[in-house]
Amino acid sequence: MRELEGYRKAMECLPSQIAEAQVQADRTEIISIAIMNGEQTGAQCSDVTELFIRVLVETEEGKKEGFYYTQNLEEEPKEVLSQAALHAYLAKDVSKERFLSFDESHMRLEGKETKDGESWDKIKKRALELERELNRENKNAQIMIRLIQTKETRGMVNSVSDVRCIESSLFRYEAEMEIAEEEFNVPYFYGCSQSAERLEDLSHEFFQKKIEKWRGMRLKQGKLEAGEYPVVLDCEVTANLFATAWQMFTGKNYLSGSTPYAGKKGKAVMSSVLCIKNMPSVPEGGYRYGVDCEGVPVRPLILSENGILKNLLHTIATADAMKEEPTGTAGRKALLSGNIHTEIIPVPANFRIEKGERSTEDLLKTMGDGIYIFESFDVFHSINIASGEFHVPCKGIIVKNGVKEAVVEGITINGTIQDLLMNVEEVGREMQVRPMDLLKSYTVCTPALRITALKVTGSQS
Amino acid sequence: MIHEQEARKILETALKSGAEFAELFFEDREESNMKCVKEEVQGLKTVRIFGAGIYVISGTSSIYVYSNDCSYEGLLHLAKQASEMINLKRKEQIRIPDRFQGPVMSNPNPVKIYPATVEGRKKQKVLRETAKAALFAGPEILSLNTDYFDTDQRIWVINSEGLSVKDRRVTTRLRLQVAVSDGRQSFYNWEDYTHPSGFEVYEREQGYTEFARDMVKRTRQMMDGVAVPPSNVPVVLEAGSCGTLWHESCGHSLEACAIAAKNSAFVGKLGQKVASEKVTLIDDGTIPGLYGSSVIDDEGHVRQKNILIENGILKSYLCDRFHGSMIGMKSNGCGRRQNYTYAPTARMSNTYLAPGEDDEEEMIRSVPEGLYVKSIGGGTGGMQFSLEVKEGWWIKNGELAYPVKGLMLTGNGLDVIRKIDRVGKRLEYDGGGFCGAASGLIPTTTFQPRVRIAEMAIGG
Repeated sequence: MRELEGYRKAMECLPSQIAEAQVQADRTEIISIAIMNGEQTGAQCSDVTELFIRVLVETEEGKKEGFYYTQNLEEEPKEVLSQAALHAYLAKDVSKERFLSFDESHMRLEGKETKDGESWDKIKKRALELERELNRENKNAQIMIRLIQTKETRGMVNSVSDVRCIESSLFRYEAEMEIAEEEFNVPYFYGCSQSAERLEDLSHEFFQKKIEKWRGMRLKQGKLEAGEYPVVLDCEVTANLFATAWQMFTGKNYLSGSTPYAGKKGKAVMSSVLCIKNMPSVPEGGYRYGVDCEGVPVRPLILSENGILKNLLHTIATADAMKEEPTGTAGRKALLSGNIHTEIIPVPANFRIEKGERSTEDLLKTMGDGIYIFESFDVFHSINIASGEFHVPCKGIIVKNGVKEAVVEGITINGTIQDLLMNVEEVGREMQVRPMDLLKSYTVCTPALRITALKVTGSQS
Repeated sequence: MIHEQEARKILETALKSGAEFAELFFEDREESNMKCVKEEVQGLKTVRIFGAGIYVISGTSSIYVYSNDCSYEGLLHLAKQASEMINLKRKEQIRIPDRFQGPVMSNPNPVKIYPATVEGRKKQKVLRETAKAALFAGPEILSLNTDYFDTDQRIWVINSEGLSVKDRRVTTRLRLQVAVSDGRQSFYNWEDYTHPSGFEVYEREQGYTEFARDMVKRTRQMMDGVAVPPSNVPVVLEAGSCGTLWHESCGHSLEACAIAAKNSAFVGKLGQKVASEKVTLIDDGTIPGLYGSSVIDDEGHVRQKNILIENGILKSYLCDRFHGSMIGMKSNGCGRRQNYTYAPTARMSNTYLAPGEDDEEEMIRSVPEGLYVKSIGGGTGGMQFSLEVKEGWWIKNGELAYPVKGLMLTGNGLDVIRKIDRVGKRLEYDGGGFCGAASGLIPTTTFQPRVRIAEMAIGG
């Protein structure tokens, strides 16, 4: 990356007070187009490079780390490094911590490589095709398709490694769909997205299935008394829960005792039918990750298998503190990181619950009588990651003898994530891939779960 | 940074294929962040957000291109891209006025001490004092992260209608994230101490240390709440930040982008009764001293006071330029974005319920059984909304009986605002926080006098 050239040179002769330096450059190039009624209604094109500068400074009080972030590529590398060094004097002693030297093997990524992106014309043509197909099958609806091509390039240079510069470049394609329609004068609105490594892998069939499933939830209104019920959580609901609950599996929270799984590594903590992993890529989506922001390659990692908590998501610091290997899950952009991404924390790549073999419909048949939770809201505010307690507002369907009978709104599912995971009896085969809102720095990929019992509050009249 | 005549050429290039409007948005923002884990300060970090966006509009189509290459050549290339992408092939090109002009306004949030001029050690002192106050508040603390943030954002909006306007927005913030324990279980909470002002806000130690102590004590109290059975009861929402109810239950649904996408229960209801006649809902980006205020919005429009609902009648929507035009309305100063990497869209600023004439004490006294909500943690909006009850009490025979926990308020926005049967006289402000939506995280406030909802389903 040309942005790193100046830093590579500056590192050949670092200012005397700087012992080590590392610069990470993240370049994101996006092309997107929105289509409605066969017309282009919006488009975006962008190219932004971010530079994250870390330096280690020797002081009388020990080794200290300084940090500087900039998007201004005109700034002089030497001045930027000195500015970062100035900040180090206010920092804690990090003599026991380390930067990782990296080698070329880190660049070997899983999945198919795409050398070049697609042209604007080709992306537009595909977006028009998708929208046309969906309009043909949904004549009375208003449909909007947004197609996005993203190229992410990460380059790193440091002053301590023999191989001073590494670079990884990945493309992905994403289609977002919004549909609005009325039925008996009642307005309905729905949105979902699909991602893939190649443009041609985005299909209108994916959206049509989602639309049909969405329409299938329009049953008569029912009423539900509060109580404990057998439950099937739709894959969209489990993805929504784990968009927040993945934080219970970080080394940082484990070390501070801020997760109910603290002290339980190696122990049985959940149902043996569950297998939870962190993956560099997943077959169901186009999100792939090469190296984390400390230069550690993202590698497949089993977090829980056969019910046993096996591993945690680590940064170098939390891995060192637990005498474990780094896991390639050091990131900056996560929940609560706001708009300043300065802190390195454990962040997953693709946090994935392995799928089962049977469909959601099969899971409902096996459940017999119970509740099918198909929509949930606002898990960010309704899960406490330290205690695992959740109170999640939902919509559900009363199921009798495996048949969907009536919709219940305004219900809440309650309990702890620990109990929920302990009571999983079966895992479904349909997967939901949910990229993190706005920042899209990780995804959560989850199937439907059939649960022995869950507390559900009653429906609103 | 380019000069005005170069900006003109860039705008002309963006308009070349016949678009009706083009805008250049520049941003240069400095932020600093210092973190403290328990009592250990991690270090000062500086952030420089720097870049520009070009927005091109024609009818119901828009193009947004952005980059952090702000050289004249880089921006010309970007403008050419935008012109090609909108591809109207019109021969006539809009003419940009000969002179650029902008409004002269006073800043609703004047700054005394710019954070960049303050030594790191002074910020470190504030952070240490805050963390210390939290740690010695009383309850057993498992983990405590305290963050200090400040932001100094400078923007320049210049457009094809001849507008050229600059703004500077300074904010400071402390964020506390705490996990407390009673020896058996743990409980996590986070809160912000936000101010739309410079470092002068930390001249008085008591303000921020009191916030830290109070936050930790309240977090510990939340652990002891009792679960209540789901029921339909009157709900009293305290004055101040419980105004989040309005942000989530109808604010998002009043944004022009939701109206244009038909994703709102307020579509086609202008002039109609949509709420109880006690409801007058206002969004006002001009109020001095509030987190959602600024001189202009992120499209250069002067901020204004917008009455959205008046005595229960729907009066207006929140409009940015593009989405406003899609529904036949002009911008009313609500085009906002987190930074140059987002196109502006209609967003709230300081959203509040106007005070009424009801007796605050009677609202609780007259309830045989119900819920009193002291604070709300946050939520999501839209046709269906949900709100986390952070601190709540069960009302029995007109008195607060015991604290409750694990409650969510959910409902349909239109249903709930029709059931407002009391609005108090005393309006209280909210410190402010962030609203996350299509154009990123933006600072907002949302507040109210004490109100009562005649009946609402609660569950948890």
